[in-house]
Amino acid sequence: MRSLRIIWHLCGSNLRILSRMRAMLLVLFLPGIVMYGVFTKIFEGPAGGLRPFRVAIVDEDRSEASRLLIEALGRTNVTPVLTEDETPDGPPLTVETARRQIRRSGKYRVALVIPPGYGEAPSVLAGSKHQGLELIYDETQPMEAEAAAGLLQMAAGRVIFERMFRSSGPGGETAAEAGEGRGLVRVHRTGVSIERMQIASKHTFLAGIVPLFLLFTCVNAARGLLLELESGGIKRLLAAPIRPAHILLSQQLYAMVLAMVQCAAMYLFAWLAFGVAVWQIAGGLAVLTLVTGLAMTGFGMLLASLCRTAEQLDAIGTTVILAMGAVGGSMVPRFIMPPFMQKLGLLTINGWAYDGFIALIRNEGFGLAALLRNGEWSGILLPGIVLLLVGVLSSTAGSILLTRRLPM
Amino acid sequence: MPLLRVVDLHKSYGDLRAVAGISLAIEAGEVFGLLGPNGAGKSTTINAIAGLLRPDAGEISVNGTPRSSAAAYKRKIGYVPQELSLIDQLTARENLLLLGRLYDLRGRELRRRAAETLQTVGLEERGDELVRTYSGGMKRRLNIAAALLHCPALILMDEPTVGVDPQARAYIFEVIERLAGEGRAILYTTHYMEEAQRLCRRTAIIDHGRILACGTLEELVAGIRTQRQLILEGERLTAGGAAALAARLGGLPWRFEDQSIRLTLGDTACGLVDIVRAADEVGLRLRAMRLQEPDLETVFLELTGHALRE
Repeated sequence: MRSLRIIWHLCGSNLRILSRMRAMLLVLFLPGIVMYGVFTKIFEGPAGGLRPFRVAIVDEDRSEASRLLIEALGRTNVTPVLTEDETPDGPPLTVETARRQIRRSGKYRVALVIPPGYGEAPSVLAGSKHQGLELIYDETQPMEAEAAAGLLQMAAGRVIFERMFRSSGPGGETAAEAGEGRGLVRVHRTGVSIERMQIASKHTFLAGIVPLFLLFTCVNAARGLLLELESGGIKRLLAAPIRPAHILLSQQLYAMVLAMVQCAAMYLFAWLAFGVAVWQIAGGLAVLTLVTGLAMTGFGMLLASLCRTAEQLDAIGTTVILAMGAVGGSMVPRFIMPPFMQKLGLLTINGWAYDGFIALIRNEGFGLAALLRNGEWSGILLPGIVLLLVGVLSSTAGSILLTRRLPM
Repeated sequence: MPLLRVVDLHKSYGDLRAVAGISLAIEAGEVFGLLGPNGAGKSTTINAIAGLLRPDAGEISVNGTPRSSAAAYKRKIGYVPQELSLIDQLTARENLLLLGRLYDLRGRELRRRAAETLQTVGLEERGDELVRTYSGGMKRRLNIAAALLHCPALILMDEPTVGVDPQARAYIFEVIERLAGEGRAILYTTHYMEEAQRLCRRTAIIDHGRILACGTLEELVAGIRTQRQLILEGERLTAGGAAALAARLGGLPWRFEDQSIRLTLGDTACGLVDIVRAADEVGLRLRAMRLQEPDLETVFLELTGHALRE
């Protein structure tokens, strides 16, 4: 009980000091909010323009007509994706795979399904009864689906034109034959309500920027300990009847309190400015924020314990934080990174915190029920466990190393 | 029983023996000086007593409580570090309240002690101002106040007057004398001879981790060979003139340095009038005479072979 009281007193005095450092308070809260707001505004809304984009192709027909259509599509602004692993010999995409990718990963946002029988009577002009092609697309990106549909008609037109051109030579078809056999196509569109809903903007940047600034805050809090060590101020505290653990734990509690307040401010801003549904996921968010904060404070402590001076921590800390931020999705959304980088991101605290937040946004919740029922890892369960472990291990290691440097 | 008892204290850092067998005993109400140059082992000794480092060997106790009983032991000690370990963004009173809570003081009692302590060091009127607005001397006084809040029996002061102006120094001396008058024992480290001479009833001279001599000023002076000297200054003094003068005075030991003559008086029966007359007789034209009594500096020089600030 006495220990808790002492830890709280020391932490409270740190908070009081912070409350009197207005510039520090601004640095603590403003950059994160500004960065989040600006990034979200820049990237929200339709993709716009006719940039080259990837379209998944599910060719269930496998006819000459479908092959020609895909080939023609590839000569437009579209990069066709034909296999699951995107290698020439990989397993062909299925409708289910394509839907799942659109819903979750965002590797592509449009898929073209060419159903069986297309090759026999694809032409609308010839009054074909065939169901036509299907465009499955990300509901949040209707412009991309629109563009894909336009390019698809262009590709179909190109096929007709080429057939007509060839018909002027030996073995060519007449315009009527070409139009009858491979004319313009009927296209049905199916919007997919995606799980990575608006990941490109308000959610992804909240998921990425919160851990980045938490890390800055926690490393900065640990920096205070190094400054105390350098100035000798810690000697006076240790001359009192308290233990080094009291000082280290109070420092961690201080960092945790800051981290929680900082997160709360960011979530509140995200809710007020962009309507992020933080209240619907409040329970999971609280748990995730807590374990993320723990991991960040532990990491800050460990980093401080490895540096001799506060200046050294400034240099090393900033480099490490920015590198972790870049790899862990704080600057570039993780889902648009190549698979290797996505795996690399899991070596960072930011990466796990990001994945946890996205899982909450996908309404996966805590994920315990899914694990017990199907043995599947989902929700914040795995990120939570990893972050908790990182927090405990790094705190312990940092505390041991710092205790060795304390006068006692 | 002495209030502070240190027996055969040892502490090494690798091959460096910082403290090599120091023993001390300080009584209640006594200001005890630990005098030595930088690196002599003063801070290591005081840190070991304050519980800030673990000695390799030796016993330390305060009022019979051994150092091993960490919490009970530390409650009996007030530590004034050489560094200004204050929080600039807090007021003086808030600094004291924070430290008081670490000693389990609470509520009205804590506030009363803080007010009394501020009064002791003359900061009661500015106790609610932020420390960052304080002058260097005021910060030094608050640095001392922070060690007094829990009414310790022993106060350890590690060079508490570093960088303060003469006025603030005089005030700090007054505070220390008042505390000793209240029965607190004070262990005071310094490398200023005049401070030790002014404040300390007894002084230990320490160098290379060992106590070279310990006692009152009189005891220390009595223990050395150096005796009081008369320094003569004048016009065109020479070594020959100095020798002639010493011979006329019955063969007094003499030295000629820095254009002045140093006569070691010892127990000579020669009075000042005799010396002036003899100087006149040998043709020395004196301008000034200065009597130099042996002091701590003389003792230190003789014991260590080097000046304190070398």
